[in-house]
This record gives sequence, structure tokens and C-alpha cells, in this order.
Amino acid sequence: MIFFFVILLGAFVGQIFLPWWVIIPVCLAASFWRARAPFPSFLIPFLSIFSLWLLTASYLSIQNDHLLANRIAQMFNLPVHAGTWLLMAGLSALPGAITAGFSGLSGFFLRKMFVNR
Amino acid sequence: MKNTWLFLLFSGLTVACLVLFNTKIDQIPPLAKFLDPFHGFWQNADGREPSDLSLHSEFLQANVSIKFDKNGVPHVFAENERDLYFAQGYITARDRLWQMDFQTRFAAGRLSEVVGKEALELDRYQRRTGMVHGAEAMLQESMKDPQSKMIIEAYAAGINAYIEELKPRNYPIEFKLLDYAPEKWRPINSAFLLKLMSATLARGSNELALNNILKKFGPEVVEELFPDNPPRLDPIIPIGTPWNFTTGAPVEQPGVHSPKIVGVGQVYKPSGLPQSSFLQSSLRKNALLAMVKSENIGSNNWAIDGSKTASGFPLLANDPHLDLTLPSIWYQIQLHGPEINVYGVSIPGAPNVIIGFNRSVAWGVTNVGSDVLDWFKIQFRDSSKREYLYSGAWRKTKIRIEEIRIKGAGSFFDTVFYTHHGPVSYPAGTRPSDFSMANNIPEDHALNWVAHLPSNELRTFYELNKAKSYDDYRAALSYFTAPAQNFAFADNSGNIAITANGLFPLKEKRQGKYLLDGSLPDEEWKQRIPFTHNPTVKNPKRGFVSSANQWPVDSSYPYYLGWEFAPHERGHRINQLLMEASAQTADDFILMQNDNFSVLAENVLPLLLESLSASTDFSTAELAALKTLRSWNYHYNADEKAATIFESWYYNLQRKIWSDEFNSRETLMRFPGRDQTVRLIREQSESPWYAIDGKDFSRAQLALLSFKETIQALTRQHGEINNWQWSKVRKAHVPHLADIPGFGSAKLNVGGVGHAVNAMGETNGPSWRMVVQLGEKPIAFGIVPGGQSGNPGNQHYDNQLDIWQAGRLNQLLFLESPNDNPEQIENTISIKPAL
Repeated sequence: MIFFFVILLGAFVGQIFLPWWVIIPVCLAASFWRARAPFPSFLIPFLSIFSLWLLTASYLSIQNDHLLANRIAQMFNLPVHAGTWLLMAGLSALPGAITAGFSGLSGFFLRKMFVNR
Repeated sequence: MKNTWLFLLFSGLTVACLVLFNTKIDQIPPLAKFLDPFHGFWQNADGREPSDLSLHSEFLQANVSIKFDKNGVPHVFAENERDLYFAQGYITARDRLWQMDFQTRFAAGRLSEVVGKEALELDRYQRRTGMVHGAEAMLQESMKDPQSKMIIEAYAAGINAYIEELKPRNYPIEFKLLDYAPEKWRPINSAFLLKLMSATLARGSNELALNNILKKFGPEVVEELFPDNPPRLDPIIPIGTPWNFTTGAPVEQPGVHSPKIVGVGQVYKPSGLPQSSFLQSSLRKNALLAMVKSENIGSNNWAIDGSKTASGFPLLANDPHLDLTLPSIWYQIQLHGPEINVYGVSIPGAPNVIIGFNRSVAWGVTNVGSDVLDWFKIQFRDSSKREYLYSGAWRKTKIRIEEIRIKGAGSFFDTVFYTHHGPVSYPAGTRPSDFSMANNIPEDHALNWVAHLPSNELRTFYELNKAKSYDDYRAALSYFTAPAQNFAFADNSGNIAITANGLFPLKEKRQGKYLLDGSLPDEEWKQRIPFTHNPTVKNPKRGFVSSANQWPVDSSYPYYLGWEFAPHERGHRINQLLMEASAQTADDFILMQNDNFSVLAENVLPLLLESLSASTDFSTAELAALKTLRSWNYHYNADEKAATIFESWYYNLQRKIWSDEFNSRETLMRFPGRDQTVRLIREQSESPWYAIDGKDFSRAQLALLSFKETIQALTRQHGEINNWQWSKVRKAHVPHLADIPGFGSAKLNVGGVGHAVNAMGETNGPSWRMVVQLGEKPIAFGIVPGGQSGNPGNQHYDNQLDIWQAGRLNQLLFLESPNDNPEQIENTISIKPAL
């Protein structure tokens, strides 16, 4: 749980000041510190960033009446209906989440390199 | 060891994600960068409630207050003009920065810098037709005028103040999509936007096509089908208006030009631009426009004096027809300073109000299709092109190197040779064969175009913005060069006026209808028609003035303006309606702007139907179509099936008449104008022009043949006649400026047609409708097919579109002071001098 929230908070603060790739060092460090097994070291950063991006996008979309989410969906050739914005928010969260997952795995194995030695 | 390998594997994958999701690949934006809700497109999802804002600027001398009404229109209040234009720049940039950037790049031949080499030929074309050369001349001239200089610089400072405070997360969405950053605004950019107007409205060129037609068919045919006078005339200046040339330099009356066929036959290969992206379709659209002078781009304006209005004060209307886009072409604004209080529309990127009104006056513009562009054949001494023949001697060319920077590649250096006529756009053998915009440019010819002349058009608009009287209007117009416009005018002292205004070269009759010989001084433009001799009329007896791009004058006007203007139909309809009008209100004018009546259909349809009456062999679908046509009232209304049938029938018929003669894969030619087609159809039941590939046809046979083909095609494409409603078949819509899918409008349910007063085409039409009732205080109405914001994620991006589509106009909020009408104000931006 701490692992999840450390990433959530770290990425949130980091992204206020730095571009999206700040999630890489955040996940790497958090995983180095907290991850104890390979599978969670991917899944927790993945879910954490996915949630952060999904929630932030959802908040922005709701106060926008989903105007822009629907237009971007059309741009990507997706059909527009009542739930389109949520699909867009989910799709938007994927590239970041995948990157976060790999970064988390890197952090885990980096730690193993030191611990095993 | 295993852990090291796994670490390397996953950190490698992480880096791969970083690179992959941070890079623009072809048309796909950098994915994580674009989708990241903290910096990507989500940040452009504006909230419902705009908020108040207070900021500081070192540039300002006093406080500026910008009030926004419920449509997002800024009402700018400043204590001096420098601050006022700063604020105009600032707020325009806030709402339209990407549009300003993109259109400037388009005009300046700098698109390759952001979209890569697919725009190279377009950039070369803009450079080689002297767009930069013209903008530089304009800026230089404008900067000599302290007033214009102050405005241009303050406006640029306002834009840059906005850009400087802009963080990447707040870049307009198109910058994020195309993955580039806004650059500092230069004063010349404002000149580029006015040059772009010239390019849109006055870069069309028929000289090469006419030259080829003259060569192929001889002077008799040209005289018959492309004559120097129109078959029907309802000129802007009423027939019989005396020409009171009491001021201005006396000019030598020009004679008649005898055409020489110059230039070798030019091989022309029709083809489009390479198809590779959404941008291309917008480039292609512009390309088609430039091919020949377009009939779809035109405008209406009219004004009536107090004798015809309910209030006793004049009324004025204007609707400029342009290629419609989102973001909207026009940006509404009210500018209030110590000696100025004006409301109207501006061009994003250029200061002042272009079309609008103040407490005392109102004005509107339509394009004058005069011939202000000519091609001069250049004979170079040798292949170095350093010298060319002029008046029996060799003159030196000037060389201009154009550097075009290309994204993802180096720079392309283009050498352009300038003669004293202008740039040689494409020397022999250099015109690209795969770039259709250049198809009407003759090789080895120099371009002489009024848009290259030094000019100070901004001063015209500045003076109009402050005008209080007819005299102020005339003084303002004297500064205007290009693109020539019919300036309609009305004031609250009861005057109305219209002037076909701009710099018109003083030409011999027919001079420049064909290509000209650049080695002969006699072939050159002499001076200009003096401003005071430009066609104008004040308070005509008939009680109204109007224009719809038609011929400005009848044959009593002593100067030559050109051989072809828009056909008379639209102007004729407006004049008919105004002739009968009395006790008019703004509502009547709004109805008139929505008038779908087709003079063309009235002129030819009865005759076509009659010529079919000899035939009896009709299918059920054909009989149904005939019945629909017979009961039609000639209005191109949205639900009208007859409009669909007539439109495609007429289109097919005129293609049958002309395409075997005037459409060739080898030689660039063009069809005779619509007024010639109508004349032929009306006057001649038999004509050699009706023959198709040598086989004789009569008018009746051709009408029948084209009718049957039309019904067949409509049935094939749209099924039964019940599905042939005009708006359903035509699919009118407003595309995004760069044709980005999802950023344009849905299909519109609108009537109208290019030759009707409501001149709606598929993607072009009334870009701003305005009606102003003058009086103690002006009461004005206006609408754009879009909105104020350039952000697709803002509610004001297209919130006016539905109202526009329904043919209605919003009442415009004209404020007297910052505290006027507080209930209409949504939010305020205050800008204060730096602490």
C-alpha cells in the first residue's frame, strides 16, 4: 500500500514541475525501496500511474463536459457515446502506466543486483 | 548475473518506452507527452466557468480592463492607444495563438519547418510568388507611419507577453499534436496575414488559360465567350451616376491594348499534391482555390438610407464569404480608448477591427475582382539568368535567396530571380509537375502584382475604427492598396456610400487579359488610377448601395478595371429586394442575408424544362424529378429536392457544352464564365458549341441527355428522390483549419448556394454576418460559423455555429464603459503596469 501511494504522490508532485517522464525515476526509486517480488514491482507502479492519470484525466474531462475527450476520440477514429470520455481517460493512462511498470521492474532488479552481491 | 541481465532488459524497455512515447511518428503525436493529463491534451479541456484574472506587464502605462461577455467576446478598455493595441494582441493570442502561427507560416512559406518536407513545394510557391517580398515592402512602408508603427509594435508586444508566460502544458492543442513550440511574434507577421488576404482574394490568374485559348481558338471565339464586357450588368455604382473627378492628378486616357501571343506552349500535367496526411487535404483545398479566380469566394454588403428604414436612420449589412474553418476566420472584439470605441471582427494576428461599427458609422467590405496581377514574359540573356532583355538592352536581375528550413532535414535554398516587373516565379523547366497550385503560372514570366507594392492598409482600418463622418471614411480609404474591396458605409447623420477601393493599375483596355511581353516598356502598367477616381457613390437617389463582387461600373467609367467580375446574379437579387424595400428593420436584413433565391434557376430552368417537353420517354424517377422541378420556387432551401436536381443538371449540362473544347490534359484552359453559359443557353437553340466531340447536338438534345444522366447519377448515389434534399446531398460542414479529424463541425443543415445571396458552398460561405442599425446608439447583430475560442476543448470554440446555422444573429454587446451592462459580463481580465 505504501509502495502504491509513494508512487502516486511522488509522480503527482513531480509532474507539476517536470514532464511526464519524471514518473520513471519516481517508480525506479520507489521500487528499489519497497518492491520485494518481480510481479508486484511491475503491477504496483503500473496501477499507481494508471490510477493517477485516469483520475486526473477524468477530473479534467468532467469539468469540461467531455467536450475535448469526445473530439480527441473522433481524431483517433473512435465512436462517440456517453462513455467515450472514460475510454479516452483509460487509453491515455496506458503509455504512462506501461513505462512505469518497466521502470518498477528495473528498480526491483537493480536492488537485487546490490542485495545479491 | 541473471539480475544484471534482467535489470538491463527492463531498463532498456523503460528507455524504449521513453523514446517511443516521447516522439512524433508520422502523423501520430508523441503519445505519452500528448496523453499525459498533467501536460498533454487534457490540459486544454477548459472548465465551464471562465475565471477572473489579474496580471502585470512592464509594457503598460496604465490599467487595462478586458470584459468578456457570454460569447467570450473581449471588450477592451484602455486609457491610451498603445495599451489598447497591446491588450488586443495579448487577448487575441490567448484565444487564437496556433491559428496565428499556422496562417503566418502558411503565408510566409514556412510550413516545412513544422510539418516537414511534404510542405516544401507549397513553401517554395509562396516564396516564389513574392509573399515575403510583399510583406517586407508592406512592413517597411507601414513603419514609416508613426501611427501604424506604434500599433504594430504594441500589438506584437501584447502577443509576446502572452507567449512568454505560456508554459508547455498550456500550449494550444495543435502545437502538442504537431509537436512544436510557439515562437516569438514578429511585427512582419501582421503583414503576412494581410498578404494572405490578398493571396486568397486577388492571386487568381487567368492569363495563361486565356493565352492558350486565344492561341487555340483565335480572337473571334475569345470575343464571343470571354468578352471584355458582361452580357448582363447590374453594376455596384448605379448606371447614370456622374463621375465627379474634381480632384486628383489628371491622367492620360489609356487606349486599347492589342494582344500579342507570347510565351511558348506550356505543357500542363493535372495532378494533385502527394496524399499523405490530414494537412495535405487542407493544402489541396487551398491549391484548388488558386487555380482560377474562384466564384465561391465573394461577399455581400449593402446599406440603405433613412428613407427606406423604419427608424429613419441608415442600416448596413455585410457577409464576407470565405473558406470556412474552425477556429473561425474572424475574431470579434470591442476596442475602447480615449478617442475610439469600435466593435467588429478582426483578423487574428492583425491589429484593429476590419469590419464593424462605432457610435457614428458602420462599414463592411466585399472583394473587387479587378485585374491587379499580370505575367510578363522574360527573355534571359543566358542560362545564368543574370540579365534580361528590356527596351532593347540587357538589364540585371536581382537575386533573392530563400532559405526554407525543413523539419527533420536541413535547409533548402531557393534562388529567385527578380526583374523590375517582379519575381520570375518559375524559370523554364522548373515549375513542379506535381503541384497543382502552380499550374496556372507560365514559366519564364515575371509576376507583377499589387500585393508586392509598399502599402499601409492598417492605417485604413485604424482611421475607419475612429471615423465619425463620411469625410473620415473617404480619408481612411485613401490609404488602402490591396486586396481591393468595395467599402460600403453608413453613418448616423444619414449618409450612405460605397467605394470600389484599392490600388488599381492604370491600364489600356484588355491589358493583362493575356500574358504580356516583359521586354517592351509599352506593355507595362503605367501609373495607378488616382484614388479620387476610384468608382464611388454617395447617397444615390435609389436610397441604397450594395455590392456582391459584380462589375463595379458600366461602360461610362473611363478606366479599365478588368474583363471579368463575378456574374451579376447575386448583386441583381440584392438590388431587386432593396428597390422594393421600405420601412426596413434589422430583422428584414437578416432575412435577406438568408435569401436562397437563385437568379440562375429563374433564368434557365423554365427554358430547359420547356425543351424537354417534346420528349415523352421518361422513367418514373425522371417524371418525379420533373414534377418536383416544375413546382419549384427557385429557392435553394435546405429541404429542397429540386435544388439538388437543378444544381447537378446545370453542372452536367455546362460540362457537356464546354469540356470537349476547353478541358485538355495538355493545355491549361478554362470554361467560359457562367454568365456566358446562361447567355448561350437562353439565346441559342442550335450552336456549334453544343456539339460533343464533333457530333452535333441541339440545346433540347443536350438538355435531355444531361437530365437523364443527372437523374441516373442521383438515383445511384442517393436512392429515391425522397432522399435528395439539398442539405443532405451537399454535406456542408466547417472543417478544421488543418483538417484534423474531430476538430471540425458535424454536417450542417443549411440551404443556400454560391450564386444566391446566402452564398453557402460545401465548405465556404458567410464567415461573418453583421447587421448594424445606426442611430443615437448603434444596435448591431452578428454571428460567426464557430466561436471566439481557437481551442477545440473550449465551449466557445463553436457555440455560435448552431445559431449561425439557423440563420439567426446574436445581438452584439456595445459597451460605453467598463461598468456598463454588468449583468452581461461573465469575467474580467485586468492588466496593470508592472509594480
